Amino acid sequence: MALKRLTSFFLTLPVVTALALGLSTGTFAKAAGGKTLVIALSSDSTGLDPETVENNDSGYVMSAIYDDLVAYKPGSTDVEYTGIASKVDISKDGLTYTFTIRPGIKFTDGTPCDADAVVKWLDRLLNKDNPNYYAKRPGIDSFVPDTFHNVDKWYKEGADQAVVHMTKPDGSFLNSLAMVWMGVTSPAAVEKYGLEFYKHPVGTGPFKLVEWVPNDHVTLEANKNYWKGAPKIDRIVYRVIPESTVRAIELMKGSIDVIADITPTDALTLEGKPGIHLIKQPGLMILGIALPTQTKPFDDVRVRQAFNYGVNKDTLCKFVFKGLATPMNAPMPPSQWGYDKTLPGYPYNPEKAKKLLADAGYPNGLDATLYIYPAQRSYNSAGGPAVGQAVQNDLKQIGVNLSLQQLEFGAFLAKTRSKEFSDLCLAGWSGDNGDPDNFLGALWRSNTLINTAHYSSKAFDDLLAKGLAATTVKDRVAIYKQAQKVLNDDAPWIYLNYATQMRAHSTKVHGMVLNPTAMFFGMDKVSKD
Amino acid sequence: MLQYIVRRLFNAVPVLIGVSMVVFFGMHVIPGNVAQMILGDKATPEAMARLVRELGLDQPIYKQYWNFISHAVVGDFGVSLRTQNPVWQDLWLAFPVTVQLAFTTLLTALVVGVPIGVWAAVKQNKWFDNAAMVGVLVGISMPVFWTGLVLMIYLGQRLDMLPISGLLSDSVTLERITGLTIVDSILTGNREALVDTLRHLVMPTLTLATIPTAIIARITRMEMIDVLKQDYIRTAWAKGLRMTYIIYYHALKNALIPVITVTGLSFGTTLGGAILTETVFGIPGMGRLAVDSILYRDYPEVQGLVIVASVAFVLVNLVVDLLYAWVDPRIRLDREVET
Repeated sequence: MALKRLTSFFLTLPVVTALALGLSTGTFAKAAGGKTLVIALSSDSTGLDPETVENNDSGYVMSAIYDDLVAYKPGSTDVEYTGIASKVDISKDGLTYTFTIRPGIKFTDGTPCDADAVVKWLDRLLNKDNPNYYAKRPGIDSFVPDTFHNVDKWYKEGADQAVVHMTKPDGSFLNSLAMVWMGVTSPAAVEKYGLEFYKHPVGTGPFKLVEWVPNDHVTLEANKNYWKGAPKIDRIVYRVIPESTVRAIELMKGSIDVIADITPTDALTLEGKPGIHLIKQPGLMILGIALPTQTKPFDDVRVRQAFNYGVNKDTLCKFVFKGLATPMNAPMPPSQWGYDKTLPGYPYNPEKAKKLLADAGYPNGLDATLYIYPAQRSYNSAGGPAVGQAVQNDLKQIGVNLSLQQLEFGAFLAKTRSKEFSDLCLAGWSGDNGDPDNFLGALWRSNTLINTAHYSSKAFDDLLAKGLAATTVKDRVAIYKQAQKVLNDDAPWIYLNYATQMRAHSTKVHGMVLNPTAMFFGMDKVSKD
Repeated sequence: MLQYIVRRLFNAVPVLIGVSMVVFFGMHVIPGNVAQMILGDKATPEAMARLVRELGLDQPIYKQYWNFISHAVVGDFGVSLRTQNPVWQDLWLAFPVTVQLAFTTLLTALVVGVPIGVWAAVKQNKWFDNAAMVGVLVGISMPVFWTGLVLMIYLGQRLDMLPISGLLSDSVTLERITGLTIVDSILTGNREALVDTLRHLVMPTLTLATIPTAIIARITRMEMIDVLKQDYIRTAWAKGLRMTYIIYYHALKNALIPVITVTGLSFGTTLGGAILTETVFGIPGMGRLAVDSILYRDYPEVQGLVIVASVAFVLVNLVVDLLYAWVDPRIRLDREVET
């Protein structure tokens, strides 16, 4: 009897299923027609309001939804006037930026994207009394303070111009405005959705949001009226596939078209596989070891230079990073405009290193401690321990006994960013806006949070200030080259390498250009066989 | 019976409070700074301090716990730090997905495990029994992660028989009613979605069912061996009844009680296993949500998840106890209450 009851229970389900299928007169959903590009992400977006998030997975989606006032040149961080503004006039004192808004652009909700809309967008970001002020939602992460910290006025001028006025010149302003995190939002949609706008994004970009199923996928549909011309694909589906190996298997099978983030292990697996194209280029990232420049013996530049000569960056990149990194010769990566390729860096030379140590008064070497974190970072695909051990081994050859101290990443940051910190630590950086000041200033300006070397040089700080005050790219490049030379000579870091930036896609996909900021810009140009 | 159910539910309250305390305080002692996780490694100390204030994380921990539990009792688990959605909303999306996977898993485990256990007992010490028990041992020992990847590579990629990850193909649309994709496709008469979601569920189900199938087969075998030695079975043989009738009608029903117990307990293991399985197969259920939330130090989400999972576990065990009485009328649950 009991068995019958259980059996009937388990048999009921398929019977009900069959019955329901047989009796149902509902319509069946059909596969939507047209070309779909499937992009695999490792995590879900956390919000699609560009000024309130900073994580890449959200940025990947938003880069197809929004346009900025200015844009990066494809595949670089050079700024060009191919965004919403057709022209930008900068006053001679570098304090006033006048944006001429391109006529005829509309947001995907039909609202005109004119000078009024741009001023309303600025007001939402800068006016705390605006009812839709961007920072009203708690827990947001924003580049607005970094981008607009010098801005005191914003207003419309004439019929088609939006003006931004600053109290202090900021040469990095246009580069910041080109970031995906500065997408221009529809004022009508902001008004309509208020604090919920991050779930209902509306921009002027080549695609618009159709569906967002949390933790599963985001579907975008082509904006057929896109002002640069209709996109070549009909929709983009961003699928969340957390496991990197699974993303690689899906790409090999052909069920996805693009892997946004690829691990070095999977890159090596996918490289050379038929039907798969692996984009590899120097990323907007640097990795090194911060030396405590204010603490003995590292206050002596000869010791810092000895440590630089004592590490073999070529073998580190070749073996520890499996060829997916390039030895560093300058304190900015080659993908950053202003990079000085003529700087010699510190080629491996243990003899020279020993001599410098002896000259500094340490003929028998010295002891030091290096703080490391356990996991991999975007700028350190080998992970903290592997890099630490390789450097430890190299420095042993010049008489330096380096002991390693590993801390969980949060504790590592807390320890190494304190003012009292006086040891060596791993240091790295991924560029945000593709401006030289975002590398040189963020990492080595006196008394900044991330300057874990506690480097302080008046000459260098003055150059940084000059760089921000200059209004032409040409002038700024010249200034930042001088700054790189100062940093190279002062050696506040052991300069290790530039990480390789990678993206994998099916060979059926064409026109995919990998921007150094990793965002999916120019998706209107991408096509699929 | 009703009195028994009420009493059992009442007894679950201290269990749930205990679970909530362990999770709450546990989440607060694991290393990692929630503000750092949200704002990233470029955050200034001022920005982190502001966020900590906004989230109420600067209050004494007992106050934070009180805030949490006093809202949780009315179903308000707060707002997720990661998704910014109310926690119940994220759970509402994820819970049915995991329930569906747990159901297909336990169904598979029973449908496969019970017959294997029965025949292994009947053929005790013969080749089938030995092979089945070796298989069971392998099943118990195989890590879920590895099984999943092996299935993906062979069934998904090389043989191209099944989809690799997700719950529905990109080209298939399905109206959400219950969140259970099988049920929703039936309710909306969407045959394409039904076939598609069943195909998507095959590999995760097989992966997750490996361990419960092995355990159920082993328990069934053990119980059946005992039962088959009983006098009444010998009598049935002597009466000349058919073998299948004796095994399935006379023997199996008396061997079922421990199988039901193990199946109930397997629900808990299945929820645990779902963490890995859902992550490997990219299924947006409670397991995936748990991994993402723990990595992000999303306290409200983790607490909500664990409490909902605990309630589900308590309820499943209650159902198991009720099933005892249903399967074997000699068991009277209300008597237990009287004593």
